[in-house]
Amino acid sequence: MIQFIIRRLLLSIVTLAIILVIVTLIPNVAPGDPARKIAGGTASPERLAAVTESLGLDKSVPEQLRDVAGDLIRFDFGEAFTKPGQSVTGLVRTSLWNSTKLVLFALVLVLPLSVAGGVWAAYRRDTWIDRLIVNVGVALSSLPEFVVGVLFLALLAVPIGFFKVVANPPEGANIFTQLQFLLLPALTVLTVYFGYIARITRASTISVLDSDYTRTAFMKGLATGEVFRRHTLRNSLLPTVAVVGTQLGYMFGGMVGLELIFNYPGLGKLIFDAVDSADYPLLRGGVLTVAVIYMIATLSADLLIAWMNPRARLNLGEG
Amino acid sequence: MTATEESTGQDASELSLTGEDESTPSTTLAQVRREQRRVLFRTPGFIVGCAILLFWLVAAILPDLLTSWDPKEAVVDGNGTSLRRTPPDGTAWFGTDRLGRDVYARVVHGARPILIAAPVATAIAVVLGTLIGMVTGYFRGWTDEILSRILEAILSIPAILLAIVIVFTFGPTDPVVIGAISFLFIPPVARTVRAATLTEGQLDYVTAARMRGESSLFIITREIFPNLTPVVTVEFTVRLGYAVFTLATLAFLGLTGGNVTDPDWGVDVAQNYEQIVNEVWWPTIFPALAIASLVIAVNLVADSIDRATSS
Repeated sequence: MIQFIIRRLLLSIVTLAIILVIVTLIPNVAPGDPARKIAGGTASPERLAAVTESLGLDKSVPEQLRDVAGDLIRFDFGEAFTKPGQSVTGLVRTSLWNSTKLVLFALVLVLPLSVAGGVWAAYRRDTWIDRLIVNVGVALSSLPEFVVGVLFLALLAVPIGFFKVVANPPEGANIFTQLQFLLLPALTVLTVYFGYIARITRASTISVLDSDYTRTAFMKGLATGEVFRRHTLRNSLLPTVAVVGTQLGYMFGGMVGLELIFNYPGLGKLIFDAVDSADYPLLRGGVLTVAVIYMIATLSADLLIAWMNPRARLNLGEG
Repeated sequence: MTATEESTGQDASELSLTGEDESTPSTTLAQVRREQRRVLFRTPGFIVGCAILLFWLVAAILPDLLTSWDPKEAVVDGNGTSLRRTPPDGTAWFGTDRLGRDVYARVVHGARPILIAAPVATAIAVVLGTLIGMVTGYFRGWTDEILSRILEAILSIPAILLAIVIVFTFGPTDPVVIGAISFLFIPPVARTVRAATLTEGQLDYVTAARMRGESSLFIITREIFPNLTPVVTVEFTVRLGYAVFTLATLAFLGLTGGNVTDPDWGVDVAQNYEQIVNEVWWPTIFPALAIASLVIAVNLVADSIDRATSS
């Protein structure tokens, strides 16, 4: 197990290093002068020089790489370009905390409901229930979050006062008020992820239900609930854990549209604002943070899988 | 020298192919494909998806067939005053927006930009991704190891974020948006194709081709690739759905090559959603539903093809 953890950790670091290189290289490979495009055609020479510096383009590529790598290791991305005096790390930390609240609340809704939906669909395979869950799920899970968001705004937030049009609660609100404000964005995440996770759970549950050991469990007279608890779920949830791990990065930083619609100051909104105000250090800090979160999430998912299923330790350890 | 080798190689394979034709496998493969198509054309999801796609194709190619209004001009009443924010009614089916433009006309005309950009970006990604996937899956070795790590790293950041970074630094123009999406969709395609190539590469027919002394190029393009077409087809349709998704999101975020006055679903949602709280929902909801219907249609088709080819 120790060997597996070390291997897996090294792999994550390699991945992170590659992302770092890609993010650093993008402004360098951009054709023409990216600083001029970002600053605008009429920018003063001083402004142009400042934008060039914010992109890191005043230095050579190896120097840029070294700087960004150092920033990432110290988790200090310097000062935000458009907000003098404010550190990128501080801004990122606030947004990260907001995103965490939203993601946790969303997961509390998404996980039980979609796993239950998937297991139910598998149990009632090829009935109308199964088809309903799978087809509605496929349809909904393909929608961009901002589309679902505006639909919820129009259908729920405007006619029903309980649902709030903005997700950010007033200062000093208690936890229930905070959850009330977060409900619509969390419901949007539920809508988008339900079908995806339910479908993965359904597929793996069906393959487990078809296996010999499940048949044996049924044949030795165990009740259905007992079979699911003791034999089926432990194995059928492995792919679900893996998928949730890979999707966490997206939930944290990818839902830019959703956070924009509900004006929620999470990581996605931070990244959008960075683009909007042409703040490359902030943008890079946000993107690299999402990459780190993804790394931690997939790592945790793999460790969880290895713990749930000893066989996975072998497979992953070899890879 | 290499040319003659190539040609003799082809001759040999044609011989062996005709040899196979007389036995059962080849005919059953054709039958299987025909059967799959028959199943596909009867799947309700496929029919519904194609119908929606057909509607948007007509809207993209001949928008004037579906609406006579100009998407950029305000609708005016008898006195020449423009009708702003009027709810849907008999004349303006989807109402008018804050500048008095007909929302239905904007939705119909908004189909073109996304229906050009999404397939083009997807096609580029699928072609390059398939090439990379086949080469890495067939040769393996250290190039495969390095490329796979890089592809995996790109996959580990939400595509929309890297797209934002690329479009931001390269400047928001149509070629950049399309290029960014193709670049970001290469890794998932390559990964799928690589996995399929690995499985195919272990089958007897590939070993047989190698024994015949065929070149690697020949084996990859003529022996393995034809067996990957179902995988590649499914991958294309799935990625097309994601391309629509990503393009719409980029447009919503204002990262698009088009002008703000040009009809575009994502841009229209972005410009109007704040009025929903004032109960002016129609300029937002109709373009949003247009995005939803297109994504769902593509996914229904993708899903049906996936099920038909894997059955």
